[in-house]
Amino acid sequence: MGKIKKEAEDKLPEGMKSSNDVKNKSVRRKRIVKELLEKRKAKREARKKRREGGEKPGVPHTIESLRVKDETVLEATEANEERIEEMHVDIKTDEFQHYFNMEYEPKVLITFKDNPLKRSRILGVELSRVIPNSMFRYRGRSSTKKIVKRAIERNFSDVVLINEDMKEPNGLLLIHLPSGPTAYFRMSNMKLTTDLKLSHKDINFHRPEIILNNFTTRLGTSISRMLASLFHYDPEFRGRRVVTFHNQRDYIFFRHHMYEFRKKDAHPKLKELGPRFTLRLEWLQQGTFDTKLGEYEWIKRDRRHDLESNRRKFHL
Amino acid sequence: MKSVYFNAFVGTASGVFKGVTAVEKCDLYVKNLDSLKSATNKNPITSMNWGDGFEEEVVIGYGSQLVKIYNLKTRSFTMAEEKKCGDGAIIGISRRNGVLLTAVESGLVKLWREGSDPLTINTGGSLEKVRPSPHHSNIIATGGKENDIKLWDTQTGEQTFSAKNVRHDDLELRVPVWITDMAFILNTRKVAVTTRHGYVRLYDPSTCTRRPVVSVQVPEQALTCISCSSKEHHVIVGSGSGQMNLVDLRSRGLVMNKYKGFVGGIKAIACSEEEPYIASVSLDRHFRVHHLYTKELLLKEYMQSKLTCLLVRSNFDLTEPEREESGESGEERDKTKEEEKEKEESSSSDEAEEIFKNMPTVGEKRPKGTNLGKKKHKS
Repeated sequence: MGKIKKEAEDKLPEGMKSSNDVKNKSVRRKRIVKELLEKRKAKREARKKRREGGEKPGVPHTIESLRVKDETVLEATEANEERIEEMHVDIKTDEFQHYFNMEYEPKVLITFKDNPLKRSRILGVELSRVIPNSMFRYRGRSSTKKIVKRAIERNFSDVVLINEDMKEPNGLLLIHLPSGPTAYFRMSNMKLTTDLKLSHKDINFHRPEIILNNFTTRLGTSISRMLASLFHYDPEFRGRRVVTFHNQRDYIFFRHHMYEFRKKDAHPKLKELGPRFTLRLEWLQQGTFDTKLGEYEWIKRDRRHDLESNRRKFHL
Repeated sequence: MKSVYFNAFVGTASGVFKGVTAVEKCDLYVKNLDSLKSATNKNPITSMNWGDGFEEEVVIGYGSQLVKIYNLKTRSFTMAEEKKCGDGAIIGISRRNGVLLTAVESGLVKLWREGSDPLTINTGGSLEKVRPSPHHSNIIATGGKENDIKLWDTQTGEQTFSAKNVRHDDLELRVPVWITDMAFILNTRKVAVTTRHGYVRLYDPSTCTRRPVVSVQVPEQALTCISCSSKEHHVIVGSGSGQMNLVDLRSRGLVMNKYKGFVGGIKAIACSEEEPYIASVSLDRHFRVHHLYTKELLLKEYMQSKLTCLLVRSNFDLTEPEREESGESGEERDKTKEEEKEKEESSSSDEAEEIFKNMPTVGEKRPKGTNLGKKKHKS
């Protein structure tokens, strides 16, 4: 044992360039591990020295930090002043203007594809618990255009339609009433409250807060305004309920939490309530649902290779 | 004060009117020509046209039936009046010899003649688009949902041509009508139309056939706009889901080049009469310029609002404007004169001038286009 150890500490025999050339497997392994540890230690010490010298740590290279600049994100420079002002006018006077001016309370209809199976139905029920002033109805062979017409008559402000495939919800259609727009999202990784081993009884009836994260581009702004307009503009903080739409790399993560302040000055404790799913935008269409004859503001169909050519390019 | 020469004008859904200077391989110069204070998406620009033959005035129609006239010489709005007539937005506008024409969605076309009573034409159905003929000063074309293409004489208010719907389909069912846009083919009496159901149709009012002489389908696209290209017998069509195609309207018709780069529905297309450039605006808030033959995307610019209307000068090209126009000169007329001098054309009569103007354009272009095409195939 001692012999081997000694050997490992020794210098390399002549004719060998590195420890990899050592013939004995166990010796070789030991030498390599030792070298590796030494290298790591040296690196750590060098870094420590640099920090003591006053150098700040660099920004790590991630897909987000190396993101391709989107031309619809305008930098606040003097030359861009007028453009930014125009963008604000465009945003302020869009179809959600009345919601953000608090002129009406959202009323949401949740419905499904024809003959929804168990999991889609449960998701509809759970969404109706999440979204205040919403109700779910089976569509009874009615066409989407007819649903839109009837919903407008009954003063609904939005329609949410859950699509499913292979017994699993796979799509979410969002129609803002009375004059659009319409957005279709692909849905994945759906987890119901029961899948998360949680109870729906924890969900209270107070209106939730909404968190919309990382929607930076012009398209992202439209989408975030659309998602926000599903919920009442005035949250009841006593319910301590939060609904989050977190955008990361164009995937929108939906989470539903309750928070609690156990100790003063401590971080609030979070408890997930469910359901949980991920959305990905497929298209945004002007006006109410008309996929065949409608005009699209943004559509991925037929141009996926153009839009997804760069993995550091994001649209939301 | 030096001012910039704009070669294209863009109208937006937020009611902003923009002047654009497009030069190849340069950043696009865009300027808002009216203030942002009155801008709102509630009052979009819904139609735009030249106010005279010399491209010195732009008439703009809004969603609230407001009409504005912008003078390019004085760089100011010379008129802003509400021209109330029927319901809906102004979807067609023109001004010729002092007669203003407005057409509204509900189906009325009104001619506001100075000094005499306005003339109203009821086109018999809702309208989607009304366009005046660039060659015959008093002919307009109208069309919309369940309102097939009709030509009208604006002097008398009489209908000169009305199309007949195509024959029933294989199941003996009536084919629905939904005209979205139309374009007069250069130097002929023919009119090409696009339909929401994806057809490009060519009507020939000079013959006795009221049905289309050419009907070609762009599969699975809801076509929204059309423009005559600088290539003879070819039109450019754009769809609501962002597809732009070149369509050959000879013999049975053929859908050809597909132009890439769109992510939203195309709202308006305009082509240069001489140069192989296609300008387009779309709902994704971008202005784009494509090359007709190479299909290359030459220019692209984000313009903050949804874009609805586009107007380009007939001599639209991507070269640097030779000189910056001053406020007073009649730049447009001068420029055409200069061009004619360059081409060494000397003719006294107007007719001869016109003929010569057309001749070299046709001769120059064809080999140019074919060369470019060949080059691409080789590489």
